Amino acid sequence: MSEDPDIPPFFEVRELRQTLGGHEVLRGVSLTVPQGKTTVILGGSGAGKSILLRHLNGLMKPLSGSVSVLGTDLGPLPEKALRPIRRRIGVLFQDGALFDSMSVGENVGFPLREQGVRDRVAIAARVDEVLSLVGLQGQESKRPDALSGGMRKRVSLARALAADPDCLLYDEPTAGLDPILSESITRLIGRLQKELRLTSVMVTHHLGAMRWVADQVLFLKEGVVRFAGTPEGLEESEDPAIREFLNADAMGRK
Amino acid sequence: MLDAIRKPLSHLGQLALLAVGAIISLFTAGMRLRATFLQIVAIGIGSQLVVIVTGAFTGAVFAAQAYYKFNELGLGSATGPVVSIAMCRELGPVLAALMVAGRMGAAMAAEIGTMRVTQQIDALRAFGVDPVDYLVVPRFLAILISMPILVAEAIWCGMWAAEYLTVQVFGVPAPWFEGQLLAHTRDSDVLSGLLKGTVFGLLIVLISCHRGLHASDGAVGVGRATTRAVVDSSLAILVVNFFLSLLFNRWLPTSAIDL
Repeated sequence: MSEDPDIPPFFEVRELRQTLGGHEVLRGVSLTVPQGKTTVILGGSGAGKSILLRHLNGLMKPLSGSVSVLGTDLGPLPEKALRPIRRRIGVLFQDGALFDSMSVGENVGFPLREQGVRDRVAIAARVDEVLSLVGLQGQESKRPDALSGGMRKRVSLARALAADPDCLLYDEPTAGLDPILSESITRLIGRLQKELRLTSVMVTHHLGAMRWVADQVLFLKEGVVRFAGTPEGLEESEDPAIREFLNADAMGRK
Repeated sequence: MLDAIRKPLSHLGQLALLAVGAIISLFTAGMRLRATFLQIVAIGIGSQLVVIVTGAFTGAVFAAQAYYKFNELGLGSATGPVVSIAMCRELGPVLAALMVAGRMGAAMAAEIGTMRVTQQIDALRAFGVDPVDYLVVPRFLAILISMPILVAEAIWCGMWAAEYLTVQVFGVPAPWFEGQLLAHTRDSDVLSGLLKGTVFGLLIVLISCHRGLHASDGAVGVGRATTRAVVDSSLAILVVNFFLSLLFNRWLPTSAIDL
């Protein structure tokens, strides 16, 4: 994957290995995420994509190998030392992970309050701003259980953006949505990427999302990197696992 | 065989780590006043009815049984001191704690467990928030404040019900009952009950939060965590009560009954 040698990568993953329940889910994965670019991690179910994503902000510790954020190796850092790093990285979780006990506005303002912002007017203004960005202006007082799947993802995206992070991680942002909502979320993410120029890593099995937002692609199968390169390179790959994945997607769209 | 020893030891180790983490957070992390207040409302105010009813009926039934037997021996006046010491030292703290474990332990494990399986705990960590600071410490503080008050209420209601029954139904003169009760109830009896209640409260929070924080496997896992939180808390209360009774009988002894 080509990158500017003068700008250090945002994430650097080296020979990452991980097991879950005795099963090896990541087998020596290496990845470099350049700053300001969107990297898509693609693969079928059980490929290890979400597990890889959880290592990028230190939610999981590597069994072996290393994960660095802007040159800082996360492996040896205790939980407390990881917190300032995590605050620079926004996360959109697969099901939104909105706090049930809070309204939409409280959810979106949560990262700001936790970063010590006490000015209620400033928090309300920022909440309004990011909710507008995701097309949910005026929904502050709603409860998360009153929202549709697509709205929950939008609120989760607004919450991830609220504290003005340097990077965004998306865990299956289109999973569980119908094709129209799925495309709408993908377009929204693409638009935000262009407007905000954030470093982004998106985990998905949705080729449409990859085509819309990716600057570079990593294809995982059973915890092994089968391809790393441009989206065009992936589409031209002769790797049987990748061809099978691309063909299955094409069949699904017919 | 090895697994049967390893699992409980590992569980106890995790509980000890959680306790240490919560105590450190108590002094190092900023106090979350709103969350603590909400927990005081849930634990302290929400448990009023169960604790009052439990205390009152336990005191009444204990007084009835004690009076029937003591009266046969001509010792009807001993009912007050016996009920008082039993309520202060054992029944008040243990039954109030069991009620709080059933009510709030289950709620804590279910709420935190649901947060765990719906990635809300991960979201907290991803935003740089320590789940122990955010979820455990406010509950820890709230139960530290609420539990002594709840135990005191259970004791008072038990004694009130015992007096009502003994005086109004069995016809023991009120000054006699009250005189004997006050003469044989020491500060150490009340202090022993309040201290026990506080220890039981902390056990409920630690065990229930730990079960919630380690919930897995979706709704089934949350149900399992909730059940285990109540069962483990109840067993811990009964076992720890035995050792605390031995300890407090030495450090905070009760008075000898001299009728």
